[in-house]
Amino acid sequence: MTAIVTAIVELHGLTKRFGTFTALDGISLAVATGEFLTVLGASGSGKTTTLRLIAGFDLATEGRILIDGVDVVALPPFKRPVNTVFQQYALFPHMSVRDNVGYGLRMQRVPSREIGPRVAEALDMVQLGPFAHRAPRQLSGGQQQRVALARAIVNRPRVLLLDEPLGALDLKLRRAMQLELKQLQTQLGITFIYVTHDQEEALTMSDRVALMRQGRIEQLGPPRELYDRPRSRYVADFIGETNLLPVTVTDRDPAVVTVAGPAGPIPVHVAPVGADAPRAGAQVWLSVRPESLTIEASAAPWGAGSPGVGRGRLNRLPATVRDIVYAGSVVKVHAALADGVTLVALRAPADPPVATGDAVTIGWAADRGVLVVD
Amino acid sequence: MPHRSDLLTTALWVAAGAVFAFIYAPLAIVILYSVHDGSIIAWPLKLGTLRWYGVLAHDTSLLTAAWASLKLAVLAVMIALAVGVPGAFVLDRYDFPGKGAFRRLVMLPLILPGIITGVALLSFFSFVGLSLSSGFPLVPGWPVVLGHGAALTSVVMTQVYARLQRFDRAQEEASSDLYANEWQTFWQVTLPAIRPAVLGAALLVFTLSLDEIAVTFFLIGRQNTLPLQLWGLLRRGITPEVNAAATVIFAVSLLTIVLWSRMMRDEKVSD
Repeated sequence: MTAIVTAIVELHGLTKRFGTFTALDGISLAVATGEFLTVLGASGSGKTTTLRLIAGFDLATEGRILIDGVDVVALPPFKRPVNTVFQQYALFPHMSVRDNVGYGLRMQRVPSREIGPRVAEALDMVQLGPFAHRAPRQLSGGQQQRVALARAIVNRPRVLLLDEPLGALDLKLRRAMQLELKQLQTQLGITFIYVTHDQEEALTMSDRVALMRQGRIEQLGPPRELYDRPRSRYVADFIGETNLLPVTVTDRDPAVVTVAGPAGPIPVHVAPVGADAPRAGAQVWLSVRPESLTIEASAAPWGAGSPGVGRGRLNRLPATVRDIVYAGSVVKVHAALADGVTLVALRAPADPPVATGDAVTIGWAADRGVLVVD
Repeated sequence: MPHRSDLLTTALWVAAGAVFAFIYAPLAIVILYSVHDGSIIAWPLKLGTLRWYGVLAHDTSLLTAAWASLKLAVLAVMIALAVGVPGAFVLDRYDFPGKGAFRRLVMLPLILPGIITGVALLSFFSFVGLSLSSGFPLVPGWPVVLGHGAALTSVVMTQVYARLQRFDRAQEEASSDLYANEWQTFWQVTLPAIRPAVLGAALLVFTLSLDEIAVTFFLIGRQNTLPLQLWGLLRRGITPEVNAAATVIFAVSLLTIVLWSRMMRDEKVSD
């Protein structure tokens, strides 16, 4: 596989236990050179532990870490060819911005005539050139974040580790910094391993996302794959918003499941399933994104669209409007199915209006529904 | 018509003034007496002479005692720092059985009445057979030096420990991430962070040692310290010279406290 040949960071069966608690449960992962990999997860999922093991701040209980083909497990942090941007920046308060940024170069005994220009270059890159003489406490949170970034990239690491670097910033600044970080990464060609709990951040910036859960990688793939083809209910729920319907599998090819209806089960078509799909009779979940659902005010025939129409087939279910939430560019309609499950559909404000209590028909294209297991 | 809150404000000012007078009036009197022209203190005071300071400057027994106190305080600071700073690191960074109990025990010399510490140290030194005058005239006596060091180590340990607890260890991780080894990290990052606490504690130990009486009284050998010498003089009555000496001690203490509080303020800024 080409991905393995050009891998710069490889994790093999990496495990970390704190006493009886297993923070990281044997994860294996190859990060390609120049890749932007996001390690995404809720708190306690092991994402920060992964980063700390790669940086060398914690020692792995088991497993190997290869950086550029060299096993670094036994090396202290100051001998590893990676640099870290910390969550709370961890700037040195008693040093100026310039001395903070030059610290790594001084410790590596880079000749002092080279340090000055390289520090200036790094500060320019994060647009902090005029602030070189300031103390960190005289800077805003966003500026401190940039100093932390400059302090790391000035060393020209092959791999940059980022631990929720935007977590302390407000939403608007965070969005701006996301774009800037992504541009910087492309421009410098540095491999980024980026830890966050913010799924939107992960989708926006990453080449690939590793979603972690209880110390394991739940799913690894490009953002679009995680969003469109979640492997489990957890992934579907964590990445973006989704509607989850309890369904019973009736057929695998073409994939048909049934949903409880007012007069017995209603068959619906779903996206083609792989070989590892649940067997007929299994109780699973159908995930449909809110933007894939349509609301029709008129009563339309229920059930799966006629077979043979291809991917345009539409599933239809009867529902009652429970709530309408106006959110500017979209309107969120909450509608309850016969068995009480409430679905959320996104509509444009210009769509034909519906009112709370209306009997409506919820529809979606068959290939927008994905079967997921618990 | 005075407003109710005006009355309240006035009352508060009066109360505050009374409290300050209660605390500081004796000090003011000592200072006034020290510049009183006359060997017997009697009202009305004739203020405006510095001759008692002149007498003080030529009183060899007081000057010797002051020199002994100074040496004692400097040595106490050195011992307290040498034991207290590493001790604070151990408390902050390592877990060992009985750590909680140890942390409270370290505080004990501060909480115990000086007389108990004094008696305990005296019986200890007589048990190990260390003469109270050993080391004289180089030092006022090793037992009193060790006694001050032991009693005041807790000041350094608690101050530095408190600072370490608030120190963001991520700074040390950042340093090691930026190619600094353990020693470089300690000198470049950790020490600058705790320096104000170390210096502040040193000043505090210095002042406390300088005017310590209870422990000193039990452990002193041939050479009196300044407070003990003054106490001896007082038994023969309060002379203007004693007032002058007290004023000098007050001025030195005030200077130390001002320095100390400035350091604490600098620390807050750098947080």
